[in-house]
Amino acid sequence: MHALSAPPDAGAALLRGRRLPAWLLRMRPLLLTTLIWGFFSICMTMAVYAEALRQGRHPQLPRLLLLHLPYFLPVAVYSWCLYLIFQRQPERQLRPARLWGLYLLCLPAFVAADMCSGTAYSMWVEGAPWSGFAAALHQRMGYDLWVAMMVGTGAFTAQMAFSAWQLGQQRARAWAQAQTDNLSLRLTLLQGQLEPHFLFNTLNGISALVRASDRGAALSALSRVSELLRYALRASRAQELSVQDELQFVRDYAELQALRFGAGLRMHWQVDDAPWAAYACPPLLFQPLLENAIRHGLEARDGEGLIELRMQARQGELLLAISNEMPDGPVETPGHGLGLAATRERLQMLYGTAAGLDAGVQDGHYLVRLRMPLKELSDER
Amino acid sequence: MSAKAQRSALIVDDEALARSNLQLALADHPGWRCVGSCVNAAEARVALAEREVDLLLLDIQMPRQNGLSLAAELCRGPKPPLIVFVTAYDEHALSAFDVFALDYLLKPFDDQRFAAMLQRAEQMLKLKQGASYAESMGGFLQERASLEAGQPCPELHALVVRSVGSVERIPLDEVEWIGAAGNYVELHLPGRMVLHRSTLSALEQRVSAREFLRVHRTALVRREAIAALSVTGDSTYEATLRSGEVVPVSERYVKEVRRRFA
Repeated sequence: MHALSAPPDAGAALLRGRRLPAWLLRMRPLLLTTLIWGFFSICMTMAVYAEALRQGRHPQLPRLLLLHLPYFLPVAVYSWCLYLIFQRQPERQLRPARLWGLYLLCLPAFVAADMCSGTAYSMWVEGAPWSGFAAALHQRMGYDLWVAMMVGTGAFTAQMAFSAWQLGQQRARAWAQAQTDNLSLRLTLLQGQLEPHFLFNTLNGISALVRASDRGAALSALSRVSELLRYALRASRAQELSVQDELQFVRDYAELQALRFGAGLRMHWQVDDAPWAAYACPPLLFQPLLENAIRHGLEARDGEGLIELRMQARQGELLLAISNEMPDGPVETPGHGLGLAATRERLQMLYGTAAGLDAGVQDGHYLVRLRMPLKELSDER
Repeated sequence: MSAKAQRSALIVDDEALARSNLQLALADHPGWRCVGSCVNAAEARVALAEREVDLLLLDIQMPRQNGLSLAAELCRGPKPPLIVFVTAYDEHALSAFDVFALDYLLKPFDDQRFAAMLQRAEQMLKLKQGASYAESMGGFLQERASLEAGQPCPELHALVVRSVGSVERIPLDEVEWIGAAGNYVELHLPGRMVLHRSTLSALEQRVSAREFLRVHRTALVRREAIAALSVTGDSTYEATLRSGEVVPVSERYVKEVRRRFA
């Protein structure tokens, strides 16, 4: 669901406050590989030196080191090239098929380059004539070839392991970020739903019913508030609930709003006869739309207005339309667009272009239309 | 025949159930009479023009014109009624209500809270402190308007303190230091101490930062009243005031206190 971002940006490094050019930064890994393979070179040289001492010879160590170092330079360059290759779309490179392809391509290239450069260097050191290059090369096929193949394979494996590790880190970070985003979104939703004014005003309404000794109405309202809170709790724990549940929540919410507005609130429901209980719905998706309609179609009209809600199942899509009558004149309550923007963003995040929300004035009514794909409710919730 | 005349109350709330809730609650108090029930600010204005009202029970959240806006209008006029805000939820306002010693009622409310609110209103009316209450209300509304405009809290120069049987206006110039005591603060003046219902932090936000300095979680002190600073232990300090009183100073604020002597 969440696309991984581009490979780690090697671009924005600063040296004493000045931005380093990109090409210079690409050289940085080369330095690293040179150091690593240089270290191996030193180790090998030390072994050679120790062996020589045991045999009674006394070679000069510094000279020996300098002599052997250039043999490792091709490997360092090879490692660096591998690093650059793996940096582009690490995900793709790490697929088994591609890895084999890369390996079979890179290794012969490296071996060839290494053998040639090694031969050339030896000849240069010994001062041998260049005409004997082919012969010298042929002579090296054997132990040196095998070493070159092992080193090449080793370098490839090392780079592969490093890339895999890096990818793992990246994935872990992305996952953690997604969790945080998800959690904060849930919290925002919950805060929106247990919207204090609605909650306390509703409780105040129930308080009035008790004072008026309207037992039946008070009990039924209390019951609806409990249902609301129950759903809100479930919503905070689940990724998706059924469309049926969500619709019931909206009905309960509407009933409680009716308690506040009395006969002023007129709601017209038109819901298709479809197996809504089998379809999935992100929790608390519809209610903000109704809340918006009530705020602008009722509160702003001195508590009187008609709200129409229509829900249809058409060609694998759920179509929800909520319309309210427009208030006349300017209103003090701001933020009409905010609730809709949040819903739109949520739909985008969950369904991409398969879902949409549009809102506008139509025949003197404010109409909000939501469209989302009908998905089967999964068994594990 | 009642010994004293009934007090009159006007209810303003856009929700029918909220209005009936207040009406029914008021009906239990023979000393009070509901003279009207208004749906919005416009109706309230008309009702207030027709008769004198002692108490206005005013909902804040109303469409079109909200309660605060109406209150601002009324306070500017002659003889405003005592206004008690009735609100479902307004976390920022509550601490401000306390600082300005304004009465309010949270929805939903039970009989005891409602009765307590009426008692306080009765007390204000008996003491004929309508004018000072309106002044406090003005201060509160001004602060609210500033905050909504994105500006900082305007500075307070005086506090209206209410206690049983009296309402007193205390200029902050006379206050040496302010100590915290739970939901109350102790205002230390020369020779006496007065309790005021507010949190220390709520006051700190509103007093002049040039005049007052926070030295401890429990103390807000007038800068020029600090006479000496002494160390009493490992990271514990004390400030002695010119009145002789000793106030604790915490690690967090000691640097600021030292700067005063620099």
